[in-house]
Amino acid sequence: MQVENDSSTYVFEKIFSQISGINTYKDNIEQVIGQANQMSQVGIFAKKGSYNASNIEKTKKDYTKLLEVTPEIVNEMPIEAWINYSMCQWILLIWAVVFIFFFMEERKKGLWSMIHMTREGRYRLAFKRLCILISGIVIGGILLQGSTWLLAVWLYGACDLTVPIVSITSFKGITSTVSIGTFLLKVAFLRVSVIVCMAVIIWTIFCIIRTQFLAVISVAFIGGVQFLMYHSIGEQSPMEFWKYCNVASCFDINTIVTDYKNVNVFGYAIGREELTCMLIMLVFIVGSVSCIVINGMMKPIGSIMIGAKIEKYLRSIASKIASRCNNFGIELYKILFVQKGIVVVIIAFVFIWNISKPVVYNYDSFYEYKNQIYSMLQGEWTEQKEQKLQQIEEEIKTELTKWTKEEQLVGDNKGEYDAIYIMSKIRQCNLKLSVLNEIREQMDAQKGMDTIWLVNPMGYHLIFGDIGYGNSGMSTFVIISVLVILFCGTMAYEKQSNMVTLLHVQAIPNNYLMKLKKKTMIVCIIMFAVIAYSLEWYQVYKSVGMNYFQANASSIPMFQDSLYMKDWTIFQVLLCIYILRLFLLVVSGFIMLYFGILFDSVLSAVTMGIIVFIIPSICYLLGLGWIFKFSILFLCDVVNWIF
Amino acid sequence: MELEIKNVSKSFGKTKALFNVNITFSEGIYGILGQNGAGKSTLIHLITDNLKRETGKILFDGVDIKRLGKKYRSMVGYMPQQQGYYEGLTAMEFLKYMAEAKGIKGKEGNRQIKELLEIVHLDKVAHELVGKFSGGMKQRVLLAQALLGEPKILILDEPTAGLDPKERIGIRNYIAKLSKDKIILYTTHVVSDIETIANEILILNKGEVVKQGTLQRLIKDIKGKVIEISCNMEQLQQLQKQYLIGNVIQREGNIIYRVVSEQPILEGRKVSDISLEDVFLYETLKVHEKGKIHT
Ligand SMILES: Nc1ncnc2c1ncn2[C@@H]1O[C@H](COP(=O)(O)OP(=O)(O)OP(=O)(O)O)[C@@H](O)[C@H]1O
Ligand SMILES: [Mg+2]
Repeated sequence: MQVENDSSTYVFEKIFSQISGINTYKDNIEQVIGQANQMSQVGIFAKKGSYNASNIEKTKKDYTKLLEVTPEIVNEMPIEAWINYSMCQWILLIWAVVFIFFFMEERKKGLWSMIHMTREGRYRLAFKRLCILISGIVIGGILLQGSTWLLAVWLYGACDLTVPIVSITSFKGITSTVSIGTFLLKVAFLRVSVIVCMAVIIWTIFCIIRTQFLAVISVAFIGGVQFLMYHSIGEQSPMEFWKYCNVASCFDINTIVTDYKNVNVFGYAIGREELTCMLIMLVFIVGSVSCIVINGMMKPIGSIMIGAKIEKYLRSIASKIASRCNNFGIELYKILFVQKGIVVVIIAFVFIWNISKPVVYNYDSFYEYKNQIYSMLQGEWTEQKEQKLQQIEEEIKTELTKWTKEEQLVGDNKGEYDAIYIMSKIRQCNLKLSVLNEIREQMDAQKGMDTIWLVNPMGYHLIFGDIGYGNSGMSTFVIISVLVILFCGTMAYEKQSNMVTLLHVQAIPNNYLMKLKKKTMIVCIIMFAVIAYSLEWYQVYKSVGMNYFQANASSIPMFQDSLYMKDWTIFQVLLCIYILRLFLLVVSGFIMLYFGILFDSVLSAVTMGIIVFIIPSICYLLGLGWIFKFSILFLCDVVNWIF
Repeated sequence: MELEIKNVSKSFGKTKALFNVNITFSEGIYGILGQNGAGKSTLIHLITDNLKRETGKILFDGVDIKRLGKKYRSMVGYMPQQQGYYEGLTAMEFLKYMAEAKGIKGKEGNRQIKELLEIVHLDKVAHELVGKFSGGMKQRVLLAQALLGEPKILILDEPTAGLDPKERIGIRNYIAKLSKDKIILYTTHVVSDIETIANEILILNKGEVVKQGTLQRLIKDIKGKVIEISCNMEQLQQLQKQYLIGNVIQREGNIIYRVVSEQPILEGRKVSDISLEDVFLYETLKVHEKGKIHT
């Protein structure tokens, strides 16, 4: 959840924008309806039975309905925060996958054929498990969403749930006439149902494919394809239907419920939300029936050889590659494929990809304005730019004087504008001035240097900013979690599989295995970190844009206070930060490996890792008291303690 | 009560695991002997409907077991060859889970579990994790699981693998006691396991039933074909080339080579105390000798 730094400005801004939203509510709707009417006069849109005609008809109907309700002023922040917080769904999905893995345990040799032979071990068992899966997800969903709702209320204050949802003016695409409470329940229900459906699909795939590793790959493949389809197919393209008839689309509940979108389904315009609901129902029914039937019918001893053949083929490739590698390559193969580390890594990357998507513009209404100014003036500072800046400043000041006068007129009951409207205008001018001020400060900090630069600091705020603002800590946190999962247990795993004793007996140096592990670990950490941080940077770059790495570091406010780096460029500072982080990660990797030596079982080594690394990091992320000083995450948040 | 297997064949890709098997089981203990890969487990997978049947019929009292479905399954206790268990469950919990799956509810289930745990000598460790048991203890848990629900048909795929002699004899005796109005199928390649308790013995070889009958009949059939030859080291090597399978026995400083052969052997002494092992060797040898002639 995001918390705006300057909260008083933020709250004012919100209220003003809400008031103006409410004032123009009716006009906006009528405008949409008017547009629709106009379009339906135009030849190509008017053709009866065509998709365009049906789309216009539907849009008109949906918006006309909106005239029945009137928006009111309400505290939107908890609702926005709750809706935009999509982490719940990821956690819920992981939760569901845990259930599925438990169900799959019986597929181990022997057990399955034993259970398959019992009286209730077929359809009945599958049905029971389906019920367990669904209730597990529902309960998990209620707990997660309920607690995030409480957290949102605690952070942003309560809000009247009986007011119509259209009062939340920042969600521009809502065409629902229900109250906020009903709306939130609907969203929660949709989120849970989507996860139920995805779980059913995943379970079915796991049931059909006997080899678990192949099943994991298939699920990842299908998920990847769906994700690509959702993000790469353009709107209005002939393939549009597949963009929305898609798992990744259905997963994106936030967008579904807040954007107005009709999809062309065989020539009919169907709302995206309705389409999603229909898909959910269909998948749920078909999926549940098929996974029960498959569970009941499928024989534990496989005689169909296709899967086995593919597996054999893949394994032979893998073992050929492994046989060419030295021990180091085999070690990597063991960690990633034998111990299934690759699954954890891929999940982590998808997760980072998703959380790194900045949501700042929902919270900072001056983001657009800032961006505009920066894109106009960014780069090396020149005389021309200085003039331009002064000119903009002048314009705003004139506007400000104008509105101040109007305010006096209102005071004398002579003005032609609404008092609230004027107030919001004045505030806007002031805020714009403060934005310009910030820019000036950025320049002042570089006084005395050869060249002066103006750089948009937004991206740096997102990546390194205080916890709770950007995603600063999150990607590092994910990397640390992956390391704990992969490396804490690895030495213990060797012990459990008796490798240590075996090597010991064969007069191989005691620390041979450890040395090998260390090498592998360092390579792994470098690989993960590079990929994870690249993903993060790419996401931020895509939405905010980051340029001019050759500029002075002090042109970025958050790098200004450093004593040592006065004359460095941004690039040098970044290099320093990431090298330090990498170093810290490698050091923690070493500690994690030693946990494996201290403990005999994987479980206790990993538990130790969680206690030492993950829990303090979570405390740091949540901003809890003294304990965060001990967290690796605090150390990795280099910017925070160096600058 | 009759379990009838009619013209059953099964192949995995190119390997023929079972070829045209016809057997009728009625009350009693059936020992199924065969080498590794002979098709014992495949036969059992088909009888337990754990493997898709290709051809033939498996009938229980004249009705196909697939049509009987639940009714059939609730009569069967099955112990697979490969150990399968939930590592995180205790012996008690695991048995409880299986009892529920078998439809044995509540008190009745608990009573049976308690009784069975005593029989397999696991009552003292009932509340410890199955994952931490030794191989033989796991095996006994799985046997107890098969016995839950007092099944009419008991199918045991190598139940004594990995057991120490004491447990092996104990379980063997217990199974012998059970045999009243039950069909018990018992596969193994340890001959002594079934020698004493089986009412009838089946020998499978390369997917075919090559011999079936009571122990006495099997022994009678090869009377005069088991021969012991005493020899020295050099002669032994010669003999081993000649007869593919034979037992080398050291007796009071002499080397005795015990062979089973179709062809009459002049040297050596005919043996009167023929054991099931000889029968087993003979039946597998027959195939080997045939192979020798062809090549
Ligand atoms: N699931 C399977 N896929 C492919 N081939 C199989 C499968 N199960 C068995 N086979 C093959 O069928 C043949 C018979 O195997 P089966 O397991 O029935 O032998 P077995 O008599 O039980 O041997 P053992 O004494 O080792 O348990 C073997 O050649 C084996 O390779
Ligand atoms: Mg077998």
